[in-house]
Amino acid sequence: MNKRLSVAVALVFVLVAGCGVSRGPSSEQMRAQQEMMQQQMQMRTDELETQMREMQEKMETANQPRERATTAENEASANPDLARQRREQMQEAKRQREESLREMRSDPDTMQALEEHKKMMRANPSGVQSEFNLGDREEAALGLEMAASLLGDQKLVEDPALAQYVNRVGMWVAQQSERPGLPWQFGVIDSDSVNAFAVPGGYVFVTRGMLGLLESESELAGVLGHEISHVVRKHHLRWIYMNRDMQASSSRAKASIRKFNPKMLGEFDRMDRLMAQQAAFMNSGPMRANLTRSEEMQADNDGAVLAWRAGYECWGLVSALQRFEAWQRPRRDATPAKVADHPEPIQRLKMLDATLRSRPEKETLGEVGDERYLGATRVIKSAAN
Amino acid sequence: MPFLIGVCANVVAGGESGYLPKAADLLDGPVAGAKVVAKLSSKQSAEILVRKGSWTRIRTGNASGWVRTIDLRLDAPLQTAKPAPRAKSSSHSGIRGFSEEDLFSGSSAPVAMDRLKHPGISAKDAAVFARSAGLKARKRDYFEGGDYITLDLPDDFFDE
Repeated sequence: MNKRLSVAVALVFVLVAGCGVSRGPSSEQMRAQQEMMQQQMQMRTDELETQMREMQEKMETANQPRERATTAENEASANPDLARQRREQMQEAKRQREESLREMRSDPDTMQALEEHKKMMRANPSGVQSEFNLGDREEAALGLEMAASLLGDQKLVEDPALAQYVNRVGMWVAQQSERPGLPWQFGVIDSDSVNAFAVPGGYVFVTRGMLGLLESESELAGVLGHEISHVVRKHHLRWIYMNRDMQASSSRAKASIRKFNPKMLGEFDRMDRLMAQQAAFMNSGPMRANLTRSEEMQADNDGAVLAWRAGYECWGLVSALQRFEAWQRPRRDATPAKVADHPEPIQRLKMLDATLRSRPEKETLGEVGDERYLGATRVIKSAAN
Repeated sequence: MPFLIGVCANVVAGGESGYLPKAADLLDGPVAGAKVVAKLSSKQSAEILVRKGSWTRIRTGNASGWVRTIDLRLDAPLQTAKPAPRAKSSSHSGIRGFSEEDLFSGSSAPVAMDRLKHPGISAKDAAVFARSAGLKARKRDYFEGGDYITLDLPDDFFDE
């Protein structure tokens, strides 16, 4: 979907740039050219409008994943032909996936491009490029502001020894990331709720409830690694940058159109409105839930890798997710099916487990650190019991 | 040899329990293809003894043995806190948390953030801690997209 938007933005630029260079020819030629461009833009806007409508319809039908899954299962169990069809479709999809993978691997150009991409991602795992790219200091200032408003009147736990311990583990894991120089800080929030979160700039928070639930340092390292990944990949900043980039390119395009081809302003405004609508749609509700879901899965994979780089086993995050799933189960059962921002913990658990098990086992093993963890969190644990 | 177990596996301290969401084999060792000790039925309850890599050692009735950790669900811990209000987090597109369950009402009163800086742990302090804990830094790439397209997930992968 992002691609579509950038295509639309790029098109506006091409059209505008076209307006700029077309001053050479006669006025008649110029008029003809402008009319052609106007038609092109109109066609593109119509297309965008259709896409937008289709997208909204599609998302509305996909709105209740649980209910839909149940219906599909009921249908399948009532009709063995349907179940067979579904299986065949899955097999066909798998065959196609394998074929395209084989094709990709046999093409040296693709493989070279892939290698270059990997190299680039190693240097900048966020892959985020924006004209508004903040420096580390500005990012930290933004993060602090966000943390302050989010935390509100929540208190941090007053236990210097515990704070030091969590910061040592967190800082050690963060040092294994691609952004070791950020002003990393790890705060323990005095709340029974089980959660952890990060804001830009390297501020990571974990609740007292989460520390009470976990049982080993490798579990803590996995959870903190998950949050560190959000910061390293700039998952938070992506949306902020995208909105700013779009607004800036739109106002630049508009200024050029006003200068070179004012007749097109009406059409441009229509396109601009649609794009803003599309951006708003993507920023809220079902669309964002989907994007967040893939970001969460990525942060789970990264969290396990970061913990491993720091010397821990990868499996700490798996048992942390398992504990979290159990803690959340009574709440989940009490809440009716809804579109969640986060994928179900069971899905996360299964995906991470499958990813880790696709590796040689020795590449996933490391320190557990349960005794050290239980010692450091003794006060919390005994208060909870 | 309790010390040795403590080194190579995560010994579970306080009588943790769980159940199997699906039928599974109880194996006599933490390896695929180990001898089957017992056939466990779905919803079978289990006492959790030890974790090791992707495996957990459990006791069910008279038998004990190993199952994949992923084939186990833990029993829900006793709840002391009331469920927090949900879905408020959607308004903060900048926040990425571990769980969607939201803690905070987003009050505008700023918290004393200077206390956050108090522990003042530097990268050097972290390295000292790691050395004393016997943690060694290792290098490896992240799992990138291309790595998991090849995962062979069965049809009923997400079913419980």
